[in-house]
Amino acid sequence: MPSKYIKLITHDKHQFIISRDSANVSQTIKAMLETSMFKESSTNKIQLEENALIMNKICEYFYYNLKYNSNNDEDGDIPEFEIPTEMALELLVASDYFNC
Amino acid sequence: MQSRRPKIRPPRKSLTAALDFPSIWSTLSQSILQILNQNAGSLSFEELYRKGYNIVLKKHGGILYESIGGVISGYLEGCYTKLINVEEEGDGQVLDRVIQLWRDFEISMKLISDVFLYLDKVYTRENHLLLVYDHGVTLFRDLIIKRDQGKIGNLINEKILDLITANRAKGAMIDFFKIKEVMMMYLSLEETDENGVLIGETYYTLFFERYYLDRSGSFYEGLAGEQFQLGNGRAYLKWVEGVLLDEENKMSLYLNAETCEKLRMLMSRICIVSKIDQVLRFPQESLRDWVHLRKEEELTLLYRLLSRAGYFDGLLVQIDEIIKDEEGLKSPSLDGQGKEKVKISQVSTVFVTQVIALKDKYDQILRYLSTDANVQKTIETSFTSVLNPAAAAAATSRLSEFLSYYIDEFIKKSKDSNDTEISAFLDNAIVIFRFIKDKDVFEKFYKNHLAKRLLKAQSEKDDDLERMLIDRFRNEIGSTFTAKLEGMFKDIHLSRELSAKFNHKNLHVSVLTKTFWPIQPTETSSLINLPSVLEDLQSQFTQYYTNCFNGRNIQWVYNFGTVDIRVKFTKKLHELNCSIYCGVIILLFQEFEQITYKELKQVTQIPEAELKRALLSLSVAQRTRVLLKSPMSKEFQDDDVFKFNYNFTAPLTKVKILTVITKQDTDATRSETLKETETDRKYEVDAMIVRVMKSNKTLSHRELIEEIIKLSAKRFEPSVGFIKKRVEMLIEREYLRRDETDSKVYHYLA
Repeated sequence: MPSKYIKLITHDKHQFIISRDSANVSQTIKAMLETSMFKESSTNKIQLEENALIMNKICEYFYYNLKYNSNNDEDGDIPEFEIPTEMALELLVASDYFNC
Repeated sequence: MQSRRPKIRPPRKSLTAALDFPSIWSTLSQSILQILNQNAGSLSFEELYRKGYNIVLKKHGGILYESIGGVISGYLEGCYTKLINVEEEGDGQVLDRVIQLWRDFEISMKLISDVFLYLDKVYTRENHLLLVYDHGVTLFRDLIIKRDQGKIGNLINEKILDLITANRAKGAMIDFFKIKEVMMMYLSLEETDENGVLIGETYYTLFFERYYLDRSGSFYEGLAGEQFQLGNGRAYLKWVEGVLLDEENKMSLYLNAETCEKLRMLMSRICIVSKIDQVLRFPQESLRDWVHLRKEEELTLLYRLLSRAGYFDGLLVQIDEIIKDEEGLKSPSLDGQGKEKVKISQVSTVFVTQVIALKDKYDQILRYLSTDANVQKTIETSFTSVLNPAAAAAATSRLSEFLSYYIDEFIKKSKDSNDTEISAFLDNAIVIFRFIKDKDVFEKFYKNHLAKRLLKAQSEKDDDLERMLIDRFRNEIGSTFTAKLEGMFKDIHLSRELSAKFNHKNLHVSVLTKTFWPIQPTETSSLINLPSVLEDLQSQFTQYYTNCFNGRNIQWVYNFGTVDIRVKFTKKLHELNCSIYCGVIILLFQEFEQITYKELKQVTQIPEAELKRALLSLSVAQRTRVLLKSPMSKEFQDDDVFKFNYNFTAPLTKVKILTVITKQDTDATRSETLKETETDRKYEVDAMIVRVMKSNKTLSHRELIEEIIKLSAKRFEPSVGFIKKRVEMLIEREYLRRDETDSKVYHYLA
């Protein structure tokens, strides 16, 4: 029985508990959770190498994407996703890894 | 205020650190093997993914891709050796083992492919290589199924076909789902070309299917041969249908749609197309019996099978043969057996009824054959060709005559017919009419009969049936055919009005338009001496008519007229109804006591043939011997003497003196009619040629002939030789000319 929430553990031992739906915004995480037989799919925990700071922003993006992507046929008022300039490069790399 | 430029943090350190491929790979390859051995539970997807990701990021994708292939190959080689060893020990479970191996391998490859998603995404696609998953599958194909000249593949194929054959032959229970699973595997094993690019074919389509069809083919070839040997058509068809249905139910359990279709075609070819023609000719229980006994079950079954095979040629040929052997369609002989006289009117009715019955029979058979358009066409063509034998054949077609006599006979007796009989009659007449090729010949015969009937008809009411029939003819081939016939009706109608206006109760005249009627005035008819009574009436009417219609010319034809004469015989007063010629002769005896044949000829000027006929009726026919002839014989000599028979008696007051018709007469009329048709055809074809050439100006010989045959098809079938002759005649008469350089081309001369 897949749980509704999953746990992401950062390199610096922070834990992010987010909804499965939002985590699935990342194709990479989606594959990890869905491909049974691996550790992740049974524990619903994923050990990542990112640090908490960047992970926070990534999770924020997951929710942002989930919210505005799923009901995009409503009015076109989608607020811009704010990216602090100093994080730009790190996020770029992360988006490549997470495939989102 | 000066804006401060924010400092961008560089990504994590690990991305920039140098990569130790061998150590990372040793973990990865261990993990891949774990996955292949169904033992991935303890592995972290993230960890493996991250490793693959880092390797690719550091541009080591190529070596990673190859190494993955290497690990998988090694694993598969081990599996292969195991399979072969076990099999060689006589295990016999190779099918199940391969299925299991494939099941596991497929799942593992899915996992491996997920783990190396980033490799596929960044490296594989860019280098136009097979995706990790597909790469694994091709390795399975080459290292398990196709290794050593396809040792395992062949082994499996053979096992599968052995199972299927056992099921086909003896109904052995087999696990179709297992076979289906192998098929699914085969369909997954895509073939690649020499550059490793997928070519859209699979092991299934390139290897298995061929083997499958070969073995299935030879299996059914043998079985069909055995059934064929039994020599029973019905049994054979039943067997084929059974076998096809059985196979139909099973094939979809394990074959893909394309192979199902190929197997269907193969079986149709083996069981139906290659044998059915002979089966239909089996001496027992075959087409001929089914047709003659009107076997619905067999014929519908046959049609089902033939439509499945899409092969009807043989059936059409054989139906044609069977129809051509129908005795009932052969024109009956009119010579009669022994001394019995054959009446053509009776023969006609019998023959027409017979043909109609046969047509009904084949209509029924056609319904059993799904009212197939080609079968219908064949039946019609066959009927037409039997009923219209080529002119060269000994017995020329008398169909036109038969139909005309049939119609004549029915209409004459139609007073008591009810509506059902009448509508059946109309339908029948049209059915036969359609079969007549030379409609112009029919027109001639029919017109002769119609003319006689119309002249005899008493009132408009009698014409109803005639009109209905003509309407049907018009619907069938158009108004050109019926225009003249309708003209005949109009004449009769006007004549009735005219006679009424002329208002002489003793005279009814039919005024006929020369071109509509088959009756033509002859030169001799104006010479005939009428008795004064008749002559007076005639001149009165002529005068009346020319007064009414200025400028019209009236000529008298007596052949079809009748007179009523009241004669007081010794015993009783009788009213004689007879032909005008007979009347003329009888009235002579008001002046003469007796008269010789020679004198009769001179006094009356009736043409000799007509005279003889009249005298036969008056002096030889038993019941109507109004004259006494001496010597009493059927021959007429110049000095034969005729006297009036005052002692004539008859049961009724009214006596109808029928005009004797001899066989020579009918034959003469017949050949005359045919000769007329021949002449008419010349005119018609001439007219057609001129019309066609006038609109086309220049045509080749072939084009012209084709055009003429097309144009005349509704009425008759002119031979090419006939058309050629007409063309030559027209060239002589300078309607056409040949091209100077190409004699096969004609030009129209205005």
